[in-house]
Amino acid sequence: MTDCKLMIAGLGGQGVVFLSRLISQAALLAGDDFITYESHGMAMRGGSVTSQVKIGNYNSPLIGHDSADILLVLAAGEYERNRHFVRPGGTCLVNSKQALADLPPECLLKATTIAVDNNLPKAVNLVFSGWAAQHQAFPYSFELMQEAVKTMAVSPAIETANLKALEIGRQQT
Amino acid sequence: MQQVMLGNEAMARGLLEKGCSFTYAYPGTPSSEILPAFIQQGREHGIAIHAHWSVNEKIALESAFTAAMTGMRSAAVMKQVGLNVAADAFLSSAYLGVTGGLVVISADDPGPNSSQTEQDSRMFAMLAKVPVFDPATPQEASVFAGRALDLSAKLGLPVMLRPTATLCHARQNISLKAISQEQSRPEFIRQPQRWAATPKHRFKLHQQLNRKLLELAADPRFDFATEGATKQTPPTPYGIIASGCAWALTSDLLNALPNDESRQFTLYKVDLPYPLHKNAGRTLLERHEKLLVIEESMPVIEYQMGDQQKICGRLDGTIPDAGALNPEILFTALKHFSGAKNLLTKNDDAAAPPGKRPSLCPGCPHRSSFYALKKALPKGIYAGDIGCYTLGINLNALDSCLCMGASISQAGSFYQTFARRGDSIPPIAAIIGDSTFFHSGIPALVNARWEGSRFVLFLLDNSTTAMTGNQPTPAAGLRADGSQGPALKLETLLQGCGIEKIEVVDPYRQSELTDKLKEAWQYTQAPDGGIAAVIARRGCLMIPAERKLLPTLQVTIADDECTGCGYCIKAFECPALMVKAEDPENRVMIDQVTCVGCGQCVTICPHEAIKII
Repeated sequence: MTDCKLMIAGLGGQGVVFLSRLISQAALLAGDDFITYESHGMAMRGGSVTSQVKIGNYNSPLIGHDSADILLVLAAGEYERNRHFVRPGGTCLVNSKQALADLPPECLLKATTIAVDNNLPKAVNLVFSGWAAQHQAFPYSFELMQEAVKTMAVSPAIETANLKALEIGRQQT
Repeated sequence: MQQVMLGNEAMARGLLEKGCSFTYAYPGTPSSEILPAFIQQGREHGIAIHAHWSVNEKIALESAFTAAMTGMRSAAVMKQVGLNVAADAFLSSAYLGVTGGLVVISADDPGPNSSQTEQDSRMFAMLAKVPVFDPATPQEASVFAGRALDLSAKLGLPVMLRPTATLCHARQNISLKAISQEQSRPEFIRQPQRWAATPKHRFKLHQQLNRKLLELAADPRFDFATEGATKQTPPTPYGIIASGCAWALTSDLLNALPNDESRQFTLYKVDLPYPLHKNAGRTLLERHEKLLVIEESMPVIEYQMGDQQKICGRLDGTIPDAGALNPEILFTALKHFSGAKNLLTKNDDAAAPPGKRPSLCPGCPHRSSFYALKKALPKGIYAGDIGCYTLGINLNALDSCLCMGASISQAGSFYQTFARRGDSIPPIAAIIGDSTFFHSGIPALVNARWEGSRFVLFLLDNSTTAMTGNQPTPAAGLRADGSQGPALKLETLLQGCGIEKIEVVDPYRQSELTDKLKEAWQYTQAPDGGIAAVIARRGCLMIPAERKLLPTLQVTIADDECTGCGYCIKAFECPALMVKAEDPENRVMIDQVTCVGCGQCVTICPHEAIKII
């Protein structure tokens, strides 16, 4: 049974909610219990958004300070205001063009640039997660994320595009 | 079988599993996904259900109540402030009771995240004398939705299910039960003394209601003191009583503490915060040295507990009296409560920089409307309302926001306060969206017209309820289940309310809109003038069909012409307008990924640096 507290931060419209749904779908496929929380309403209009995913034996989806095992950041500007959720020794993975003072380069990916260059500007979240799934701290394998994309796709065209974005992310390591 | 479900979807599932066949709702965060999930799951299982987006919450509750008068099982769904709108029906329905089953789902928003108040619907249930369940997880919410229906049918009373945003928008793997295939027939038994009770009969109904509540408060199924506690010998010094999401948070927190620390506490879970079980509180007061009550967002259990000397919670300040609970607040409360002898210390004072505030979407027609309004009536009073367009505050084009529909009453009253002694009257505009106008703007408009008030009624018609996820309005005629009904015309409605000057303009035609708004203001000052309506009509871009109608222009900013004055960002605040990174002159660029190509920013640059290629 996996035990992982994962947090996703970004801006409304970037697909933060979709990414948390994808990870919960992977958890379901893995047979793990989980509970997640996502922002809705006013915050969805381009404001700061976070999703929290707790995999294991939990009742509340809320994650406290110094507790997250892994933080995924889709907009670099959101790193600063969410990093204190990460536990000592936890992992931060950030979509950023620029270097960040306290993070090693292997924790950064220019996911937006890569997505735009590959003509998938709306799939930054999937490119990013394809890459993140390679990291040791990520709770599920790349293959399971692929399965999750397949089970969640509402049309074959979306499935193809999303799998492609995921694969592009994988190739970034 | 297990399925990933949002808390809101899980509640819809729970209703269907227990034979609910009528659901009425008005959209409002965090409750909006319940009705669509009810329709979708009902359809997938071939159940004959009826579900409708009512025009407001009062109508939703009246409709659901009436279905439950005929022996049906029904639900009325709303957010907490929606219950304020439905209050009259809610309080009265408790006296009359039901013959079928009626669940009122009122979703609270501690924080608040997307609401004007942090009120606790359980407090409202207590006022109305309606039993209320407080579920802790999506799984439990699904079960409690069914329990609420069963309890309602058994007692013949409406029953409330009160989730909070943390539960509504939590996603969890849910164990499913079979959906009820029972299809009972409606039967209306005439009982005028009950269904149309006069004050004399109301007194008797009130006594009956009180008897039912006393009986329920003695029901051993809701005795929360029995749970797991008696095994502790001797009892722990500290007892914690919690309900709903507050219980979930507390149990996770206690589980994360080392054994020698968590051993000091016994946690009790309350499923039914009102009416609180009559003996459980007393039992726990005798069993423990001290009790801490943890609940959101008001002290509903705490007020019912009696002896306040031994109780910590919201009333003595152990738990803050505003804001949503989070692990840090609970941790601090727990330390304070237990005397902090040896609880783990934790970094609980990390100050996070403020987040990015929400703004209107790129290409949003409201942005153009607000820009035209500021140009046309620069010294105006802008009485605002509730919807995406409340974000007009970012553009300095919104001065008030009280509650749904208040823009029109407030514009009318602003007029009257200035007009009383013949003072000079500033331009006054009521800014209201189409869905909000249907919800509660119409009576306010009839009133303002009758009172003789004069103002510009600026109706932002994006043909949808955008903020809550694009639910259709009566103007579209489209219904919640996708069927097409008659489409109501806003112009006709305005005429019916006595409005004689009505203009319809596409907000993307900014100069025309500015002119029409100026004209409207002049009309309000004319000797035979009155209220002038300007309808800014363009569909919300979150609707795919509207998105396709967009011109998709290629917009850019000429580097050599941009002076870096920042006017466009301040006055227009389109997310696609960005200050260039590391540019010494702070020049602005257009982020091509974010830009939707509406071209609306072109006319606003004072230096004409924004261009269409």
